Amino acid sequence: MSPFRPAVLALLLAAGSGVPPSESHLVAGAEAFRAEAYEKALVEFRVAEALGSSEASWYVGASLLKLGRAEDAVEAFVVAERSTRSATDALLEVYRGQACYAAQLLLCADRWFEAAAARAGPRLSPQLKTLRTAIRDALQPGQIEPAIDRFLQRAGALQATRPALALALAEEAAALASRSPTGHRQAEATTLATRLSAPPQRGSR
Amino acid sequence: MTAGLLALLLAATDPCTAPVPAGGGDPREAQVYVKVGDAERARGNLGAAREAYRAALAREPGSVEARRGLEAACAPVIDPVQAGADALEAGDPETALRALSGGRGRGNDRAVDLLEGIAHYQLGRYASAVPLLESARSDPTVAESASFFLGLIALRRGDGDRASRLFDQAGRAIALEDAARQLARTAQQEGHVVLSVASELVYDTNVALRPDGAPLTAPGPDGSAGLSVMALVRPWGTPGPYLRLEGQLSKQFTLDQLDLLGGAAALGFRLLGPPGSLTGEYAYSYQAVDWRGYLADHRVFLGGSLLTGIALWGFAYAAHFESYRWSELEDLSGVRQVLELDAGLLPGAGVRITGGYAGTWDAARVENLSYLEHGPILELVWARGPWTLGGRGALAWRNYRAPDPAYDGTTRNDTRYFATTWVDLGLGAQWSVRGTVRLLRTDSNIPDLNATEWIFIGSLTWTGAVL
Repeated sequence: MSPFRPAVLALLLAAGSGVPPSESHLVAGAEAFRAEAYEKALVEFRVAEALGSSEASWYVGASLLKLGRAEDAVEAFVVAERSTRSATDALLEVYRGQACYAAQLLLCADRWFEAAAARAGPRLSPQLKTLRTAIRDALQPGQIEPAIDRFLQRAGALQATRPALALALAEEAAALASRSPTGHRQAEATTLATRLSAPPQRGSR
Repeated sequence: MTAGLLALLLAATDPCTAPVPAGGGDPREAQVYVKVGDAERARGNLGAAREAYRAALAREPGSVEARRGLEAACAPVIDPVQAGADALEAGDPETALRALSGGRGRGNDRAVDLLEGIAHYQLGRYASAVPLLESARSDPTVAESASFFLGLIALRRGDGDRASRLFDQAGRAIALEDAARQLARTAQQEGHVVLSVASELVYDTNVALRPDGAPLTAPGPDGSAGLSVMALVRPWGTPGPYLRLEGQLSKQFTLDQLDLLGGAAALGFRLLGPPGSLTGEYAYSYQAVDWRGYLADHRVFLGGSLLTGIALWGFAYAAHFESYRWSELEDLSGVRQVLELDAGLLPGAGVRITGGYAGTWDAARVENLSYLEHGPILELVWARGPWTLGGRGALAWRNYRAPDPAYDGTTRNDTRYFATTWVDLGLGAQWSVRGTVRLLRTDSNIPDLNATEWIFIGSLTWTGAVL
C-alpha cells in the first residue's frame, strides 16, 4: 500500500491545462519520498501546499516524520486535518500514529493506529495490533497525572506560537485526564483543547 | 588520482558546491521555493532549505534571494545545541543557557530541555531544572539522562524513595548505569527517616595491643561478633537539621573483659549545594567495656567539602571532651582535637584519589599523657557497578608532651602506621557486604610499646529509608 498515487497524478498531468499547478509537485515529492530523499520530498510537498494542495499537508507530515522531526510532524498532521478532514490512505494514518508515538503522545498514537487498523490490509493489521498492545502496557496509572501536567505546561507555552502542536498536546492531556481516576485537570485540559481546536478568529469586520 | 576523482564526486553531490542545472521547471514558482527555503532555514532544517534554494535557482538562475538563501544555508553555522553542550562540558552553565536559548524549534527540543535542565541543576536552580528535565523525560532517547539528574535533585531534597526510582530508570542507559547504581544506594540513605543495621564478624590478631615479643600467655588474638544500629531523622531532607541515634554491641569470643556496648546521639545541620557541603554537629556518646561505664564523650564537629572542576577539597574538625570512667584511666580524660585537610581528584572512571594531612592535639589531665600527632593520609577508591574497592594509608608521628614516669622518665615518641583496604559489594539498593583488612603498627622509642595488629572484618549491612 502506498500513500502516493503517481499513476493517477501522471494521468491528471497528461490531461492538460485543467490540472492544478500543485499536482506536479505532489508527484515530484512522491518520487523523492520513495527514493528516501526526504528533504527534497518535504520541499516539494511544501511547495504543493503553498500552491493550494490541501492533500500535500498530509505528505508534509509524513516527510517530517521520516526526517526525525516528530513534533513538527504531529503539528503538520493537525494542520492537514484542518484543511482536509480525513487522510486519503490508511498508511498516512499509520504515519500520523507513528509521529504521535515518537512524540510520546501515546493516546494520540493509539487513536490513529486504531483508525488505520480499520482500513489496513492483512500485513499491517497485526503490526498495528502489536503497537496498540505496547501502548496499553506503557500507560502506567502512576504516570498519567505527571504526564497530564507536562503536556498542559507545554501546551500553555506553545499555544501562541505553535497552536496546532499545542492542540495535539492539550488533546493528549484531555484524553489522559479521562483515564485518570481523579479526573486530574480534566476540565482545564478539555477547555484548552476546545479553545485551540476552534477555527482562527478573523476579526469582527 | 583516486583522491581527485573522489573530490570531484563529493563536489558534485554536495548541494552547496554542485552546479545548479538551469531551466528545470516553471520560473514563476521560484519565489515559492524561496519562501519554503526560508521557512525551513528558520526551523533549522538546513538540508531541506538548500534543496529549496537550489530548486529556486534551477527555475530562476538570476534570483538574488535564492542565491543569498543558499549561501546562508551553506555557511558554517554554530549549532546552539552543540555550543550549549560544549559550554556545559567546560563547566560554564551560564554560557550554556545563553547558547541554548536559540536552540529550540530545530527538531530536538527535548534535548534542549535536557541540557537546559542540567545547566540549571549545575547552578543550583532546582525549581527551574525540574520541569525541563521532566519534559526531557518524555523523549525516550534522553529519558535516562533526564531521570538521572531528576534523581540527583530528589537526592539533594532528601526524597530518597523518588531518587531511588529515578536512578532505577536512569540505570537503563548503559553509560549511566554505574553512576546510577552507586547513587541508587546513596538514595536509600537519603530519606527522611533512614535505618541502617550492620552485623559483623571480626578477627583481631592483637586485640589488647600486646607488645612485640610479649609472652604468649598475655591476651592476644580473638574474634568477636558485632551488631550496630543507626537511625537518621531528617524532617526536611538535606539541606536541613538532622538527628542521629546509634547503638553498638560487640561480643568477644574469648576475652569477655573487652566486650563493648555503646550508644550515641547526634544533632546536626547540613548545608548542601552544587559546589559542596557544610556540616555542623554536636554528639554525645557513651561506651561500656566489660559491662562497666568506660568513656563518655561530648563531641563538636564541623566539616565540609568544595568541588572545583575535578578536585574535591575537604576539611573536618572535631573537638572531643572525653571523660574516662575507670579510676585507673581517669588521667586520660581531657580535650582531644582532630583536624584533617584533604584534596581529592575525581579523574573519572569511578576513581577518587585523596591526599591529605591530619593532626591530633590531645590535652589529657596530665602532661605525660598529652600528645601532638600529625601525618599524611592517602586514599584511593574505585567504584564500578555494585563493586567498590578502596585502600587508605596513613602515617602519624605522635610526640608526648612530658617524660613518662612509668618508663624511667623517657618522653614517649611513637611512629604509627595505618593501612586499610576494603571491598564492598552492593546487593541491590539496600543490602551490601564488605570485607575489610586493617593493619596498625606502632614503633615507639620505648620498645615495650611496639605492637602490630591485624584486623579482618566481614560485614553485612541493610540500609533503607523507612519514611
